[in-house]
Amino acid sequence: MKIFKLIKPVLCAALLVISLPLMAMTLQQAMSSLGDVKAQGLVGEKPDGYLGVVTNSGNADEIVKLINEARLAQYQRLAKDNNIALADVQAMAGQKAIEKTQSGQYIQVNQKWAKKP
Amino acid sequence: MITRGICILFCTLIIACTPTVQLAVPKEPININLNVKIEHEIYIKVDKQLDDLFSKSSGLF
Repeated sequence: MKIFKLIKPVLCAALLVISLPLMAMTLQQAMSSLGDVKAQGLVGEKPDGYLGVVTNSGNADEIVKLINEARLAQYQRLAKDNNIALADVQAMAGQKAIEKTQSGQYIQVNQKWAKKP
Repeated sequence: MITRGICILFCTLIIACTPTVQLAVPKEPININLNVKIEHEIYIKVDKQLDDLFSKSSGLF
């Protein structure tokens, strides 16, 4: 029993130490490849504040998933800090992201992908 | 007696003729909506915070 009690926290700590850099690395990689996949037209900005897959090629899917998870965390923080609805933050972010999208990259308009003029 | 009578009559007349202004309390409460301004300020604040998020965590956008 005593050994079990000791092993559990050690195991948890070890798992955390192993998994943290892996998770950070992956999001980091996703963030550094975002510019490329946007330029290649594989992903685009949606009005709901999240990325969407335009053409699933390479690891576009994975990048979108990771970036969107990180975005959600930030949106939730903003919503909580300002005591407003998450949906409002998402909509504002979506509008901003679309505005800031470079010409020729994809944005979603009326549920359809379009190249920003 | 007559003087007293006149006095009472006079008083009655004055009371009867006193104009009364009636103040009617509105049935519905008066609401002043301050939420609009507060909400507007919050949205400006969030807008600014989003700008910060876009520039600081530019990797996410």
